[in-house]
Amino acid sequence: MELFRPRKEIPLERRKGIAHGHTMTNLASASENDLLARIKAGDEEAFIQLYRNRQGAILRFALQMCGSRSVAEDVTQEVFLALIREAGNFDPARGSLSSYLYGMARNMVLDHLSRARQDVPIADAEAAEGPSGRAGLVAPSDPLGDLTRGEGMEALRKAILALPPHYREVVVLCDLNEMDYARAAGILGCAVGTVRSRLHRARELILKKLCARGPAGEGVGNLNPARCAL
Amino acid sequence: MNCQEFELIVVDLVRGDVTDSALGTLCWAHAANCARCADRLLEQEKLSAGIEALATHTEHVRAPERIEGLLRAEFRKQQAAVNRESIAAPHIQNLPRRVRDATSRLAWAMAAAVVLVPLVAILVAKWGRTPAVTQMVQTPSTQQTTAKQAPDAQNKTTQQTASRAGSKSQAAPKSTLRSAPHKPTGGDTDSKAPRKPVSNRYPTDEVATNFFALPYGSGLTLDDGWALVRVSLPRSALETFGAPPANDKAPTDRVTAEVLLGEDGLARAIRFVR
Repeated sequence: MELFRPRKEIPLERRKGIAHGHTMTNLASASENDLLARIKAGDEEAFIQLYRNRQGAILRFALQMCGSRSVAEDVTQEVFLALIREAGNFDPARGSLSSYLYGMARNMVLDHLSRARQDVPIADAEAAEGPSGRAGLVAPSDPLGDLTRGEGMEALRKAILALPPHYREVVVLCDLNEMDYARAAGILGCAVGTVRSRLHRARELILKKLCARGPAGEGVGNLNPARCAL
Repeated sequence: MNCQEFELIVVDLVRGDVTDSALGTLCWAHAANCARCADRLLEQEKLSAGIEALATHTEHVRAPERIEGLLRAEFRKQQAAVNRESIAAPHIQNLPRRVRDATSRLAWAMAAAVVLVPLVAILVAKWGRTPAVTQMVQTPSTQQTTAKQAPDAQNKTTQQTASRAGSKSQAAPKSTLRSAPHKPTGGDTDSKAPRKPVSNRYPTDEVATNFFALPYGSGLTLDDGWALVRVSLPRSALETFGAPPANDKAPTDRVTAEVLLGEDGLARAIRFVR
């Protein structure tokens, strides 16, 4: 007869669940600071919850900045790996966790862009394609006619990617991710006025590129978008 | 409002960032009356619509599952490392990170000191010795000799200064001195480096000559201290002091001598020992 039954080993995940009790169910509604506190305490599920909450935004930002899905995925992975290693370094008094993650992603994307300088800029690539290549990108009569669909949207995406990085990042943050100037300024580490003026300038550059590539704009590279015939 | 002012605000107007309703009304009114600014407004609206469509197009982009799995594994690995550290030094883990870093640096510095200090001490001890010096001794008889037997008229200065040095330190070293030049400043040498009494290490039946003052040593005093150094010299050195020439059959014979050195390291006098 077996007098003593060996005690079953409780899996680590279950033990954590017991230890945190009700926290497992509340993670989805927990604030970022709560999640971060739990991450610092070694709560894996809190980390995964934070990752699920934030990975989409970080991936989108990286994708819109560099235009490459694989690079964007690498950046997202690196951002959260850095968070695992350096979670203790984050100081909530200096800004939100979201801004911290965006800031890391931005640095990594800019590193990638500086390394990838040898890539052919979009304007040059199009010049190499010739007029036939251009014709396929935009509506034949109106370059700004329909930017919300198909070729127009693709042309717009390429125009954004062709912007210098410091203009591109304000378009990505303020327009594509609908951030206000103050939050974007916090992420970029510059003044609100700088963000605003960069956004104005960036939009002018996009319009100039879009107008210049349409058949109506052929050969008028310096066209003032203010006078672009619509 | 003029066209220039409208140009400055048109992007904010399209983005809905103009919070001043009066300013917004002015802008719309200007655009209604100015064809050029109406065109500007229209193209900015089209651009905003395009950007919004692009944002919607990428709205549902998600990272692949493999990244989540990889991050989960990395998190566990990191936690395992943290747990190992906390088991090894649990009290350290409770400290703030800055203090932990400082503690870690201090521990490394101490470990380096533990390794380096003995090493440096050994090197100093090894390289601090003069190769020519075979031994530095001051026997009781030597001390007496220094006081009594440096008798020559030439040697007078040396004798006086040696005596003064001896009297300066009441517990003048009666055992081996550590290094030359030496400043006999009390019994530190005895207490720090207890050695076998000199009388046991050197035969007491030694015979020594008187001190001969060395020409470049005369006139110098021994106020700051002195040391007696035993050296080994070729026999031919005796000729300098009037001894008969060395035997050709034994040219490599050596004789033992004791040199009286001042604090500055210069030899003041010499005597021969057998």
